[in-house]
Amino acid sequence: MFQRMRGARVRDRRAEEPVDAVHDVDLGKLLDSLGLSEALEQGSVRCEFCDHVVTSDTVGALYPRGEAVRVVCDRPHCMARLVTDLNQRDGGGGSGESGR
Amino acid sequence: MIGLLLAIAALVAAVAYLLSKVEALAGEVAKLLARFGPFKSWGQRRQTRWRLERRAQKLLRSLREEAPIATDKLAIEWVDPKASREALLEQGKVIVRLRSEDRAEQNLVHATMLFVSTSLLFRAKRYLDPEQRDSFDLFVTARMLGQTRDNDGVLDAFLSEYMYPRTAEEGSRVDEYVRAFEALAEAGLFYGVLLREVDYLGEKVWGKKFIAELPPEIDELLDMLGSLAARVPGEKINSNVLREYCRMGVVLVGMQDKMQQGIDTWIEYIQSALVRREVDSIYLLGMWRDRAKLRQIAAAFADGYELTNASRISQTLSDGKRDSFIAVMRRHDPVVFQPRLPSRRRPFTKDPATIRTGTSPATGLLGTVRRFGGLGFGFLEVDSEPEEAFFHLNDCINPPEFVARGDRVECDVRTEGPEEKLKAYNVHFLHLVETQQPRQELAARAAEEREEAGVAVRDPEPDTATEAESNGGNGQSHEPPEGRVSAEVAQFGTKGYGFLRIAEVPISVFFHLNDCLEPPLFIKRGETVTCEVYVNAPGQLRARKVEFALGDESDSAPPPHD
Repeated sequence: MFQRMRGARVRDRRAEEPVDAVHDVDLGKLLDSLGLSEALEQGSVRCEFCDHVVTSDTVGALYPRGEAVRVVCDRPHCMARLVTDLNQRDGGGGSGESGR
Repeated sequence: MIGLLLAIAALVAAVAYLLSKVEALAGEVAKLLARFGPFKSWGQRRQTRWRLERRAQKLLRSLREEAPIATDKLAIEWVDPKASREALLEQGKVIVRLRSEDRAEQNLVHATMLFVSTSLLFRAKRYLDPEQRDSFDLFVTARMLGQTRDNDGVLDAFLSEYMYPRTAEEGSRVDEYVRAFEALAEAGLFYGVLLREVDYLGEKVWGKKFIAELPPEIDELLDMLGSLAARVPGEKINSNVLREYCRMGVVLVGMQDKMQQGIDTWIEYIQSALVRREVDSIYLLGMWRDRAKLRQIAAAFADGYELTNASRISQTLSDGKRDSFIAVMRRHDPVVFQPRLPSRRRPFTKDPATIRTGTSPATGLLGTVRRFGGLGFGFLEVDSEPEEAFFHLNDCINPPEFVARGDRVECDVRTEGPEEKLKAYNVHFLHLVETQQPRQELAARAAEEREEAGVAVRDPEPDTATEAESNGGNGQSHEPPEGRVSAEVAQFGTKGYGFLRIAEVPISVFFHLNDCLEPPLFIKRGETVTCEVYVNAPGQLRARKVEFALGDESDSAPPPHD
């Protein structure tokens, strides 16, 4: 529940947060650090959204979920789904039922 | 003198030009170094980031001309590829892969999507539902990518490959929202009003990511703005949203015949329709040529509202395209929402303008307690009011240990919330009055006591004499009756305990809410219960498994303010 207060304001500088990225030239090292290289080579890593096999050439994004690092392939649909997934995760249980 | 000024101006221009060239030169150097072994990795990273940030910055600058966005910089930060898995998991970063120069367009789309979603609109959309969030993300990303001037197909690729699959999903409202946003953008209302307002709501509502009540309010705001965008000249529509969180109004300042008479008409309207209803935002919308009058109108409310933005917007309305002017006024002391603090530390707030009191500030309205529950709240029948007023112990000047039906009080009342429920403040229990001090002095003293103690309510200690006497503290011991017995509530206090009158026992028996099976919200004196009685460790009688007879359903109504 929320309380109503007058006068207090909040400022957040979230808009200036950077986009975290890995360049192609560092991807191999990063995958090694995350312990994903071998699994990618063996073809045992699947995209979080389309369930297709991901290789080191088709990695689009990596993101943590719980104790695991999820891999998203670089298909446009899957990258768009990543944003949707982040919205649902940050939503804290939004049902999507807003009566519209 | 003039020659000197011209020389300085030329020097400044030359430095600016050289700086821009230096930046470009750095990019070219990086590109060159990217070809050579020792600098290859550094050069490629540098070149990719430099090119991406530069393009994104241009897009953001273009977008910023029409949008109330907080930044014009999209920054790329390389993650440390040697960092441990645990460190990366702990940081919780979403890491996007950026490729070498041959996939620059893909880099731009991916980075822009993530930037818009996780940074640019974070505050504005964090309390919305997921479909509303997606819609804002997709629409703003498309608008941002739409600023590309080099016709490189980035926008087309985004619309067809990234956005369309989401909008085409069956049962999804994303398409509906995006279409609504487009209509608003045409009318200059998407950035001008909608995004400003949701961003402002994000500023007011903080500490929580999702609020179930807000998405319907945003839908109502969207519907209202949609009607405004589709409005034909002269048509009258409701342009206010007066809900719990979103309290705003759009005022169209036009109609030349009225404008020629002066701005008093608008001032009177704003005063009666918006200021009186305590809206937090007022958007004045008029023609560009009338901007001076809009500023005058805003200045008339300078005491209560701050003019936070005044800018030109481009509108395409049913009567054609035109340049318009928007002035955004924000209340100096808006109602903001934050997670509820522990109730005893909750600050006491009131707005004197809305409080109804007695014949003088020192005397309140007279009322009678109709109901009071073990959770610290109840309802009063206030003599001059047609409906019962909610009150909480935290709003009492002299909270008694036991609140009983029929207790007479003096209080102030005001209406609160979207349903304008009556709430009582400064509740003063008259049977506890020991002095003839004015009520305001008592209230001030109580507030000081609360502040000194760091709590909002004096914590009444149990009446040890009463308790001891009730439990046989006079030395006599009493045998508890066997099995379940019938009893009647003799007293029930404000701290969750009370006493039962039991025919088989000559004294009152203590009971606590925790000893009750499904206790009702309101426990009334005289209520019938059944219970077991036992002797506790100090040798006192105590009731357990107290079960209440089914009572009036109206007593179980939830409190309107909690």
